[in-house]
Amino acid sequence: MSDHSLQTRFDRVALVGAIVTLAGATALPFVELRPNRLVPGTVHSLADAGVWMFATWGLVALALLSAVAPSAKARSAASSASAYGLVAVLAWALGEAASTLLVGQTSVARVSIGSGAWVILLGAAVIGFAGGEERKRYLLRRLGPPVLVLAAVVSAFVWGGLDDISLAQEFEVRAESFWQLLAGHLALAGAGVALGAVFGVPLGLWATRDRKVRGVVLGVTGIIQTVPSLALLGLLILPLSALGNAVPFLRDLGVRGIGAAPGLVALTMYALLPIVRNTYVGLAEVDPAVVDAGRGMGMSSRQLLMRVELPLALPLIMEGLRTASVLLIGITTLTVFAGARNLGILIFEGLGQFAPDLILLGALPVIVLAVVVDVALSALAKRLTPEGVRE
Amino acid sequence: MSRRRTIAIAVTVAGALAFVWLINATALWEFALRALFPTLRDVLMPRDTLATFVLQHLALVGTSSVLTIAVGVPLGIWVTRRSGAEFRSLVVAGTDLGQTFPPVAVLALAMPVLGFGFWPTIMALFIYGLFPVVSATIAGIEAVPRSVVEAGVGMGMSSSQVLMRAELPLASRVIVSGIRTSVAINIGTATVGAAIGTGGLGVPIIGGLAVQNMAYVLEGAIPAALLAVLADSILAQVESAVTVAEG
Repeated sequence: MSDHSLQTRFDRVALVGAIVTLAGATALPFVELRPNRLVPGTVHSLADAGVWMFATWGLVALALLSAVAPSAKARSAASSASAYGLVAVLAWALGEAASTLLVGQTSVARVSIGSGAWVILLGAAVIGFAGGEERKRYLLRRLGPPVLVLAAVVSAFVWGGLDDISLAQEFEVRAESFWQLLAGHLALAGAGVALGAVFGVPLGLWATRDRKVRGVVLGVTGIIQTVPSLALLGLLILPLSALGNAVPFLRDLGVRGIGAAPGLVALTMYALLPIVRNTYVGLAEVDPAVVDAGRGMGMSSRQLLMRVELPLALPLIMEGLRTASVLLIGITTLTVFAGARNLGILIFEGLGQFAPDLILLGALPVIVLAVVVDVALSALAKRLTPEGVRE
Repeated sequence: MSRRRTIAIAVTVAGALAFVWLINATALWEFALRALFPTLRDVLMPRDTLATFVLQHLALVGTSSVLTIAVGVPLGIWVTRRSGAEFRSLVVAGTDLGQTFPPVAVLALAMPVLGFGFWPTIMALFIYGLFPVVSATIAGIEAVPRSVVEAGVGMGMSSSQVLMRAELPLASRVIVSGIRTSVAINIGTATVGAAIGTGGLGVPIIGGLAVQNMAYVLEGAIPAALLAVLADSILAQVESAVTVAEG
C-alpha cells in the first residue's frame, strides 16, 4: 500500500518549484538593457543567454522528472542537482546575456538583473526543498555541492561576463566608499549591541532580584521596541542636541543632534529588549536546586552568580545578543537620516535617484550581513552552552 | 470578565479616542511647536494635514495587514494539515530565514523588482508581514496537545470540526501574538515608505530631517510612536480576549 502510494504520488514541492522557475524564465524580464544607469531601458528574455537558456530548460525538466521519480533516493538526487544546477546556470546565463547585449553599446550602458532572474532563484530554492525532511538533514552536512555552486558563480565573474552586470559595475565604481560604509555599518551596529549588553545584562539581572523592577524594565523596553525606529530617531535628535549644547564636554565627545550620536542611542535602546528579556528568562530558569547546591557548598551570592547562574544563563543571553544584532543591522540603515554614514546611504540614495543597482548594492549586503550574523551567533550560542546541559 | 481586563479595555479605548482628537487638534500642534521652535517659519508640514498623514499610514498598514492575515493564517494551517505537510519544511525554513531579513532591506529590494509606489510598498509590507504570522500559526497549532486532537476525533468530530473547535481556539493566542508582531513591524516599516513616496507619517520625519526642520520631525515622530503603541495595546487586548475564551 505504502509502496504503491509512493509510486503514484508525485512530489508537489518539486512541481511548484519547477512552475515558479518556468514562470520566471518565460513570463518575466530576465535582464534589462539601459542606455545609462538611471533611465529605464528595454527588457530582454532568457533567450539572450544563448546556450544557458537550454541548460535552464534542461534543469527544469530534471526537477519535473524528480517529482515523478520512482525512489526517494532518485527524487532527492534529481531535485538537488536541479536546484544547485539552476543557481550555477543562472550566474552564467546572466553573464552571457550581459556580455551579448553590451556589444556595440556605449560604455555607460548597463545590463541589470530583471525580476525573472530573481524568480528563477526563488524557484531553485523551492526545488531544493523537494524530497522530504530526512534528506535535508543529510544534505546540510554535505559541503561539496554548495562549494561547487560557489565556484561556478565565482568563475562566472571571472570568465562568464557576470562582472558586466550593472550591480557589479555599480560596485566597481563605488568600491572604495562601499568598504568604508560597510565598516561604518558594522561599527555602529556592533557598538549598539555592545552598549545594549552593557546596560541590558545588569538590568535583566536586577529584574530577577526585584519583582517591581521587573515589571518596569520589561514594560519600558517593550514599549521602546514598539516605537518605529525612524520615529525614535526623530524624537532623540532634539534632546541630544540640547544636551550637547548645554554640556560642551559632551558635545566634544560627539553628543549632538545630528551624526552618529542619535543613531547609536536609538540602536542601544532597541537592543535592550531582547537582551534584558533573555537575561531575565535565562537567570529565572536556572534550576533552584542547582543554586541551593552551590549555596550548600559555601558559595557567596557573588560566587553563585558568576560560577553557577550566569554560565547556565549564557546560552539564552547569547540568543538575546543574536536577536539584537540581527535587528540592529537592519535599523542601522535608518541612522543615515540623522547623518550617520553606513550602507543605508546606498539604499536611500538609490531610492532617491530611482537607481535600482544602487539600492541592491546597499540592501543585498545588509541582508547577507544579517543572515551571516544570525548563523554565526547561533553557532556560538550552541558552543557556549555548558556541556552538562547540552541537549 | 475580570475588573482588571475591563480597566485595560477602557484605557485602550480612551487612548484611541485621545489619539483621534490629538491628530485633529491642529491649533494645539501649531501652538506647542511654535513655543518649542520660535525661529522656524513653518512648524507644520504644509503638504498635508497631520490627520491625512495618519490616514495614509493606516491605509498602508491596514491593507497590508489584512492581506497578511488573509493569506498567512490559512497558509500556516494548510502546512499543518496532511494535504500541505509536504510543504511544511519549505515554509518553516522560508519564514525563519525571512524573519532574519531586515524589513527595510526587503522594502528597498521590492523597488527594483516590483517598481515604485503604493502597491509595490503594500506588496513588500505584505510579504514581510507574512513571516511572523505564518510561523506563529504553525507554532500555535503544533503546540496543541495531541491528546486534545485525539479526544476530538474520538468524539466523532470531522477533521475540520477538530480544527475549528479545538485546534484554532487553542492556537489563537499564539496566532494573535504573531499578528501583533507583524503589525508592529509594518507600522515601523511603513514610516520608511515615505522615502519612496508612499506618504504616511514618515513624510514629515524624513522631510523634516532633510530640511533641518525639527518641528516637522516631531509632527511625524510623536504620532507615529503613539500610533504604534496604541495599535500594539489594541492587539494585546485582542490577545488576552482570545486567551480568556479558551478557559
